Order: sequence, then structure tokens, then C-alpha cells
Amino acid sequence: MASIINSISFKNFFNYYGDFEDNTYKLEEGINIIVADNGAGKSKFFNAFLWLFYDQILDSDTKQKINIKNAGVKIISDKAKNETAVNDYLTCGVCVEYTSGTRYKYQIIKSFTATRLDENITDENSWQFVMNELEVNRTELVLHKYKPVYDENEKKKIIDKLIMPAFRQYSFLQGEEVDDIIDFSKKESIEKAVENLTDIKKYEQIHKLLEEFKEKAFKDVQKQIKANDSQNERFNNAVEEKEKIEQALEQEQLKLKQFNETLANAEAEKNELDKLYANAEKRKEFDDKLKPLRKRLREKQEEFETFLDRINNRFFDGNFAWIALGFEQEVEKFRELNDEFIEKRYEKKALKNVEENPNEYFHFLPENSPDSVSLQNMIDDEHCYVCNREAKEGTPEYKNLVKLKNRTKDKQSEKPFVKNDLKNFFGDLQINAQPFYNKLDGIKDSIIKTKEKEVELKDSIERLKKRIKSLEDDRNSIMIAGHDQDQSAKDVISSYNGAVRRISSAENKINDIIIPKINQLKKDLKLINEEVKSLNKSNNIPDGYNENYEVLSDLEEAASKAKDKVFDGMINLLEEHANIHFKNLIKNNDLSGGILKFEKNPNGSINFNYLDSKGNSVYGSSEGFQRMKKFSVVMAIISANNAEYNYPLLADAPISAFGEGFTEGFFEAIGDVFPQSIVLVKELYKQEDDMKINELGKRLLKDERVKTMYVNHVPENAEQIELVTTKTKLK
Amino acid sequence: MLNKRTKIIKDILFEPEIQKKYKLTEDDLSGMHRKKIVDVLETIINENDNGRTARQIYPTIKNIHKI
Amino acid sequence: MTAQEFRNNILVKKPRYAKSKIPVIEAFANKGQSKSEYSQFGPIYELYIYAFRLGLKKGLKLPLPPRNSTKDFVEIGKWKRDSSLVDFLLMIVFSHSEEIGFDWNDLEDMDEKELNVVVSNIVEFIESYANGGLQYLQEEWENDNLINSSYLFVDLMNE
Repeated sequence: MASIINSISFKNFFNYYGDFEDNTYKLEEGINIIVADNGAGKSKFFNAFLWLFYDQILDSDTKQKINIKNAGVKIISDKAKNETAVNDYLTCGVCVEYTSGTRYKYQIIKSFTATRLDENITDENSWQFVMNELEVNRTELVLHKYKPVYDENEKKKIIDKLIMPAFRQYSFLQGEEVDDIIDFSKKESIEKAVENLTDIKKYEQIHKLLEEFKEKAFKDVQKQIKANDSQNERFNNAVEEKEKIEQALEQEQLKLKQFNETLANAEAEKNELDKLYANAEKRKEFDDKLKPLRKRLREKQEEFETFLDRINNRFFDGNFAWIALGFEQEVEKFRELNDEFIEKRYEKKALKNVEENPNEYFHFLPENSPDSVSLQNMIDDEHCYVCNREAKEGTPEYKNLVKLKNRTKDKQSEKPFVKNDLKNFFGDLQINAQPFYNKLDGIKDSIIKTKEKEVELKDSIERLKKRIKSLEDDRNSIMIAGHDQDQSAKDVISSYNGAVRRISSAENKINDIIIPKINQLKKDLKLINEEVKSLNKSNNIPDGYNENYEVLSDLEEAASKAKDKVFDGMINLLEEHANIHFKNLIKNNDLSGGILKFEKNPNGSINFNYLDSKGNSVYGSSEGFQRMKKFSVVMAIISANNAEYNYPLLADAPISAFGEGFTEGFFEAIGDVFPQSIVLVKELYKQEDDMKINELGKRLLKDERVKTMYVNHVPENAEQIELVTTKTKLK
Repeated sequence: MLNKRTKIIKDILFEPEIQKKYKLTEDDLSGMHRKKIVDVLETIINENDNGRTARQIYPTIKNIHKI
Repeated sequence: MTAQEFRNNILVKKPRYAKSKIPVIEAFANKGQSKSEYSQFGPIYELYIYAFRLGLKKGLKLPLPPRNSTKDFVEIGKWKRDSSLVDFLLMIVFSHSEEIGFDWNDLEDMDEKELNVVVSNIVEFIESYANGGLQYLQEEWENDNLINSSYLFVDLMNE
């Protein structure tokens, strides 16, 4: 049976000046949004519910919850105070109407009267306060007239039915409170939820009783045997053995308790420190900046290393040819020697020709000189154009021209004039080695440029390092901000590491030593119990005693298992629900993969982690993300509650740390979980807009799940006594 | 809807080991001649609900076994 | 013998170094392995050519000890293949033909035996100066005169 709040009204409550009728918010099943900038009555709205449920309000100066009786003058509208004459009085109060099921509608009014005693309006002593009696009215839905409820118990029941006290913490959310509701540093928070959602308490009670009765039954059996006098030594020995094991078990369980305490303390410390420097968006912002910078630094450093490693390559790389430095003379000398060699070679060849063919010394002429075409012309013209004289056919001159023209043919039959023809050997060396000696002039420059490049790389590495260092410093300063001034980041880190070490050593001790030992002892105990049972069957005691003991032992064991099953079942259910909500919440965000995981430790506590798609735990993500994670669990606690009872969500800006993507997901998700949600939010406010809401606000306004939307206004630059919250109903 | 008391009784008595050992079935949960183990558990739960202490409940259990 | 055959005769030679130079070679040529405290060359032939150049320029000619106290390494033809490096090296060597003791033109008239002697002398010429260069490096190293800089070998060359 769902509770739906139909309206909430204020009378001279903070900035809500005027009577209830002037300050009524009509609300409906589904999503209700109240948009209000800072100071426009958002947290006051929330305070109304605090008053209603707990007779408290949250003091915005001290952030402390104080009893309404002590809140006094602070919570009354200044305008109303100012308008009240001395000796006159005013009323300040809140009124909520809600429907439960299909039959009844209720009205709850809490208020006090304040009489003005003198001129001073802000002084506590200038007013006399009288708390008015709690007013609760009821009507049948078909009727319209409220009838007062007089019975105090009945009144209380009606308030409790709006949101049951055990579930208020999951429904009644204010800002950072989401963080506190599921404080994962305390293992009780999940256990508390399981307690609220199941009858586990009952199972525990029954189990405890059965344990006690089992003991008693055993003692009865023992007494009977002694009375029965047959001094059965074996039985006594078995009982002795049983007691020994029980003692050992007790000791181990004590140890387990101690180590669990150590573990819990270390975990609490770690989580405390986690909060300290895992703190939030800022750190992530820095990390996001640092990551690419660190990557670039790594790359630059690698480039620099490679560069240095390869410097010596430049000696032998034809593009640099540093090895050639200083070989100018040799290169020059080689050329000279080669020229000399060629020259001598021709001489030698010529001489040889002359020796063998004294008439063919013309072979002194270089090959192809004159070329064959010119020679043919000279033959045709019977004229030598080289020496410009006639060469008539038949003359020696003419024959010489013909012979010259045919000399190639002769050459083919020419015999080598040296044993080893090395002309190409030297020629090829000179051609091939070009890349090296051509660079000779540029080597000094090339070395200088290399050194410049090195300096350049070094500089850019230095610049990157400085940038990273300064970002890291900023980041570190955040890490310790707000913490004990004397404690340096280093101390925080070392305490943190210490806590982590203690956690792991306690866990090892518990999981690897104590728990196995306890399990072994339990096994032994079971065996010895069997032994005892079979031994005392041979005793002459009334069957009832043995039977009593046996039945109670069996029941005790079964109850213990049933209890665990209930707990595990709820944890699995919560995990399943939390993941569904989490997926919805983050679907407009670019987080991908991961799942929320509840893991039961052997020692009974619950670990709650976010695992990425590869199954690794993700830590230290942004505050918004962390809150979203917790919010999923809160919603799971509500949606996994399969009781017939449902209740509204009252949330004061739970999205301030979430960002737009999350905000959209949030509104979608709460629509699915809560029959009614009333969300007070400043993020949708936009001063410059005609409707005073931003784009997302307008989108939500069109969303059919959003049933009502209000925008609160306060006059700009108004005097405190003129400060009045008014509202526009957009939907 | 299963009432809470019945659910606890079933959760405990239908634990596989105990169910097998005492051959418990749905029929054992009602009727006149109930098995002692059912009687014992129901007594404990009822008496606990009635706010009786362990010291007060135990003699009742013993009564069931006639001791 | 053709030009190519003559060239091949030189390229198949495996120059040697004195075993006493192994430490300095290990220190300054990493053969693609671990790094040392000093700037290093890659393969041995790089250090060898560098040492040859150092020896030649500083006039440090130091003949190798007897064959038993020496060790060879990869043949010249495999020094930095597909590069002009060996051509350039030979260019330098042949520019010193006078010192080695032959005349270019005479080579063309020698018989194989005589040519082989010349090739041996050429290799010996390379070995002696490389040995001299390595000796110099070793002394500088042992006397702690080397500065650990990436430009160690550039600086040594400029001295």
C-alpha cells in the first residue's frame, strides 16, 4: 500500500511567509520537481519533513540537527516577525496531506505559537514560544471533511505510516546524506539494510535459543548418566574430549572476534583516509590532466634514450658519415693516385701497342674520337677534317680513316694489356664511396645540429616534468586539505599503507588460519558429538533425554543454515537490484562495462566493489560516481523490499555532484523505483530564462513521468525582512 | 502470502539434512499427530513470540519428550 | 685477376684483433646487448673502423701480436652490407698505398701470389692502426680520461 503525499504547506516557516494556503505545493504520484536556486527555500522544504518526522531542523550555520524547541526564532519568517505587533502573536508551522491506499487521506500539522515581547525581533528572548499540540486529521477519500484524531498512539501510527521509521533513512535523502546512509566503511550498513528487509533478526533469535537449549539438553543427558552410576569411562573420556574441543573452538572464536575488530578498525581507518585523498572531482580532474602528460613524458624520454643510443650510428650511416671527418687529405690523395693510375695505364697501353704494332700508335686516340659518323663523312668526302687535308681513296691517309672507323672491331680481338685489370676496382671505389666523402664539409654542422636536437629534447622533457610536478603539487595539496594540518601527505600515505597492510595481515590470519581452524574444530565437534551420542545410547537412561538432545542439535544446525540462507539470499537480491539501478543511472554517461559486486567475506562482513569489465576493482572514482554507486544500493534496498508497503522519496539535491548525464539517469531511475518522488534541485535553475529553468529542466518538463514542477523565487537584493519565497507552478 | 512464522519453520525444517533425517513433508506441519521435532520448533517460536524467556521455554520442550 | 676478383680477395678477409683488447671491445661495442656506463658502438666492426681511424689520424701504428694471441671476427665483406662504408674504408686504405708499399699500376702486372701478399699487407695495415687505436682507447679508459658523454667518440675524434 503506497503512501502518496498530496500536498505540503508552510506557514511563516523560514521564507515561506503567510498562511498555509499561500504556501501550498500540490503534489502527485510520480515525479515532482521543485526548482530553487540557493536561498530559495530548498533546504527549508526539506526541514519541514525533518520537523514532521523527528521534531528537528537542520541548522544551516552549524550543519547540526537541533530540536525544534531550541530552533525558535530562527525558523520564523522575518517578514512575519516584523509585522507582528508587540504582545501580539504569530503561528509557524508545516502541514502535510497524504493518501494511504485507496481509502484514507490524512493531514498532519505541526506548529508553534510565538508571542512578541519587545521591539527586538531577532533576539530569542524577545519571543515566547508555545508548542501547539500535534494535529492529525483523517478523512475517507470519498468524503471531503477531515475529522480529528485524538488518540496519541493513533497519531504516531499515522505519521509512521507515511514513511516507516526503518526505511526513512533510505527515502529521506539530503545531499551528502546519501554518502552516510550506505557508509561502506561500516559493515553494519548493509547488515542493517538486510535486517530491515528480512526477518533475519527472528532467525537469529531462534538460533540463539536453540543453541542454548542444545547445551541444556546435553547437560541433562550427562546428569542422567552420572545418576545412572554406570561409570562409563569411555563416555566420560568422550565428553572430556568434547569439552576440550569446545574450549578450543571458543578460544578460536574469541581470536576471530579480535581479528575482526582489528580488521574493522583498519578498514575504517583506510576508508577515512580514502575519503581524505580520494576526495572527489578535483583530484580526478588533475588525474585526467596528468595522464596524457605522463604518457607524453614517457614517449619523449623514450625518444631521447633512442636518440642517444643512436648517436654513434651516425658515424656509419651514409646520411651522416661522421667517420669521414678528418679524411679530407686521404680522399684528395686517392683522386690524385687514381688520375695518375689512369694516365700511366694509358701510357702503358700505348707503349705496348706501339711495341706490338708500331703502325697503330693512333690507338693513342681516345675511343670514339672522332666518332664513327664523323669518320664516315670524312671517308665519303675523302677529306680529314681533323687536320684539314685531303685523303683521297687509296692514299695512306684514306686507309687510316677506314682503319680508324673499324677500330672497334679490332678492339674485340685486342688482347688484355695487363694481367689484372683493376681500373674498375678503383673507379668503383671512388663512385661508391661518394656518400661518405661528399658529406665531408657538412659533418661539423651535422654534429652541431645533433647536439642542438639533444638540447631541444632535453628542454621539452624538462618542461613536461615541471608541468607534471606543478600539477602533482596541486593535487597533493588537495589530498591533505581539510585534514590535520600537521599531518603531511606523506604521513597520510604511510598511515594509509599501514592500514592496508594491517587489513591484509588480519585478513590472512582470519581466512588462512583462524577460519580453517574453526572449521576443523567444528567438524571434530560434530564427530565427537556423534561418538557421545552412540556411547550414551548404550546407557540406561530414559530415551527422552537422548532424543531431546538430538532433536535440539539438529534444529540448531538447521537454524544456523537457514539464517545464512536468508542473509545470502537478500544480499544476492540487493546486488541484482543495485546493478539494474546502476545501469539505469549511468546509461547517459560514458562509463561502460562494470558491475557492482557484493562479496561476503568468510568473517561475515560484506565487501562492496565496483568491478570493471575485466573484473578488477575500481577505486577512487569521482564523487558523483561514488554517490551514484551508493544511490544504486539505496534504490536497491527500496526496490528489493517486497513488502506491500511503498513510500515516497524526498530528496534534497542528491544530484549536485552528479553532472548532467547522471542527472538525466537519476530522474529516469527514481521514476521506476519510487511510487512518488519529490526532488528539490538547484541545478535546473536558470536566472536568465523566462521560465527560470535550463534546457534539461525543459526536457524534464515535457517528460510524462514528471507530474508537477515548481520554480521558487526570492526577490533579488531584498532586505532580510522582505525576503519572501514565492513560487510558479510550471506543471 | 506465506506468514512469517510458517516461513521460518519451513526454512529450518526443510533444510535438506534435517528434512531427510526426519523424513519431513508438508503434511507434517499440520494435523494432530505431529512429529516431535516439528512440535519442538513450533513451541520455541510460539513461546518466543509470546515473550517468554529461555528458562521458561525449556521445561515445555522437556515436556514434549516426557522427561 | 679481374677487378671483382681482387675486390673479393680483400672482402673475404677477416681482420684480427689482439686478445688483450677484448675488454675494451666489450666495453665499447655492445653487439646489440646490454648497455654499459659509456657510450657504445653496435657491432665490433664499428668500433674497429673507428679505432682504425683514430690510430691512423694519431699515427698510432701497433702491429698485432703473434697469431695465437689474436682473434678474428666477421669478414670485411659483411661490414655494414648494402652500404658505401667499406668502399670508403678501402678508399682511405688505398690512398695510403705508398705506406703499405705498393704502386697501383704495379698491381695490374702482378701474379696472384704477389697480389695476395699485397692484400695481406693491406689487412695488416688496417689491423695495425686499429690495434693502435684500440690501445689508445684502452689507455684512456684505464687512466679514467674518458668522459661519460654521448659525444665521447665525436670528442675523441676532434682531439
